Amino acid sequence: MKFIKRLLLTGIKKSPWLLHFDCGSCNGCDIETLAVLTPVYDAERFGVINVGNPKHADIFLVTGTVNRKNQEILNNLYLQIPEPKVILAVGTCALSGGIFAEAPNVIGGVDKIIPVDIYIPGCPPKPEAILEGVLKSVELLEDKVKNGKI
Amino acid sequence: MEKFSYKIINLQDLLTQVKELREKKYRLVSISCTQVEEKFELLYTFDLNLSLKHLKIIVAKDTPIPSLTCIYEGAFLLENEIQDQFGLSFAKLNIDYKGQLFYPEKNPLFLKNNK
Amino acid sequence: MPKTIIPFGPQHPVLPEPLHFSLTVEDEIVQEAIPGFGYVHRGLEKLCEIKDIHKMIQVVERVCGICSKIHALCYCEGIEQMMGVEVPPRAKYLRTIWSELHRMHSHLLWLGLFADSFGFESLFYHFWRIREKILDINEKTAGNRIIVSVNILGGVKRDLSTEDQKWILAELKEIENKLEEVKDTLFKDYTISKRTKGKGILSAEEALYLGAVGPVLRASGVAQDCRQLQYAAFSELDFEPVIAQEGDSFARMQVRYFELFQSIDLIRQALSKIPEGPISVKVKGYPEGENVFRVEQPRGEVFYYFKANGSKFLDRLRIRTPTFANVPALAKMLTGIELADVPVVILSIDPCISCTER
Ligand code: SF4
Repeated sequence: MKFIKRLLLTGIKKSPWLLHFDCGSCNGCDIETLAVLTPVYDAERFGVINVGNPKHADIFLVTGTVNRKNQEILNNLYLQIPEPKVILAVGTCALSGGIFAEAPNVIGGVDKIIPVDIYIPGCPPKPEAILEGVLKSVELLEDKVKNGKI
Repeated sequence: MEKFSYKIINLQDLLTQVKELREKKYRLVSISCTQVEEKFELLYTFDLNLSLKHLKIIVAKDTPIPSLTCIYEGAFLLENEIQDQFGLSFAKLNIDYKGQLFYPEKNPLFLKNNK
Repeated sequence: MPKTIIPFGPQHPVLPEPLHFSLTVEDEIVQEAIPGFGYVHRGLEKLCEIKDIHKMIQVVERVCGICSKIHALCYCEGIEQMMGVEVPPRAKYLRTIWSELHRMHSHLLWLGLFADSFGFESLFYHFWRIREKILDINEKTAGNRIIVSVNILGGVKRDLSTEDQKWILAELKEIENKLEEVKDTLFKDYTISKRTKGKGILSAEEALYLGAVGPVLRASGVAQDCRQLQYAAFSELDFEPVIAQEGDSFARMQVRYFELFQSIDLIRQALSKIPEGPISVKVKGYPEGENVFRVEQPRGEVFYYFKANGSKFLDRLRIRTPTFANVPALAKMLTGIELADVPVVILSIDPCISCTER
């Protein structure tokens, strides 16, 4: 058991995989998130890879507001990601609903549906801020592995 | 840009008028719905070589509106959106989402008294 | 094989945004494609009833983060037309420059994502590296990378100094060179031609009938560009719509690629002609009546309908976005193609779902 834990720790520390879900954002945050993964900001130098399958992911990055239709999908994706996982809410929309908080089909921030570990404000946040958030979440992942019951 | 002006037509004439426009090779740009007290105004916009033509019909909530999808196939999205937002109903839609294009349940959110 | 229904999306690796398609498939050939929406719907048109006409600028900018500046341009010009406000000429030129910069950043973004959709990752990175230059210009001149909030009713908020203008020209030169470098790869690479040529064909007749707009329409050989309507400063600039004849995914790529050069040219023209003077006028009172306004976005024509009642709030704001108009055409393109080509064809219209649903 100890061996597996050690293995997991190195794996997660060296290469955390990220799943990005756009849940009702205006695209501003999405493209900034994508920009983080491309050459100029290059999150890949920290081993961060964007994956499409929730079952492979360690970090769940959510942008945008929750509405009546996507809350289910958000929850589904959340449940499909194996423990340990870290949830990252990017952008004012994901934090509280932001400018759309009063719109008719908006429920609110992401934390109304799933627990959020790290919040990154900004409309849209700068890529540097997103990168910082991703790195913080790696630390958090480590903690979770060390103290978790795996 | 040209000045905005429209022609109000009867509900019965809608399809024949639109058919004429289609024969003249007009492109359907948009259908805009507005609630004016208890009635609804539907503004149909067409374009030919960058000049616009507008037709307007005024309907009550329960009147079924003839769908344009028999003339312009692509109108189904525009009409379904109005069904969603205002709870109006279109007759003979080719793809009918039954008011659930955007929301999981039927709930015309854009009506004035629906907060 | 009997018919199978395959769900495509909402969470799909090639799509940055949640779009859903139910594909009816027989022997790997798509027979019918029915779009499904609602995953990013917010209902922001209704916000016009609680936010006043000035605050609505910030809301319409967030219809879509990629073409935010041009949404605001359309909104402002529409309301200014209703109120009879004459915008100072310098502001018109500044609006044009920023909106063309926006078009470039959007097209570069799309070219990258398109390359990614058929697995050409290095090209994807290459385009996004070029795009960062434009975002730098945005950040330096307007204060934000993507949501460039420079428009106000009656003009713009920020000015371009002469140094800035010089710097922009130098950057544009560099971007142009970089774009020339990838031209050969884009047009001669075997994989790209194989994956895009003849895929998702749309004829000019169908495009008009299904209401397609923007590069999708122009790639089918129809020379229609809303910039010909001469809003902002386009009346004083010289340009021809870029068109292609084949109507397939490759043609749509070609149109967008050459539009990048067109935008560079337009910015250069605008910078050489920009007059001195004030950048905004004070707007008093509130609009009344109805109006429509259209401008050309990177993805095509956007159509705004305003209904105002003379108070602080608009009665109704209706936004018909370009992807909304292109979706019926996309459903048509998808029928009859192989399942493996679906992601490429979907991306070829440059879908922007947050626009579509608002
Ligand atoms: S926080 Fe701002 S940029 Fe991000 S999705 Fe919301 S409105 Fe768009």
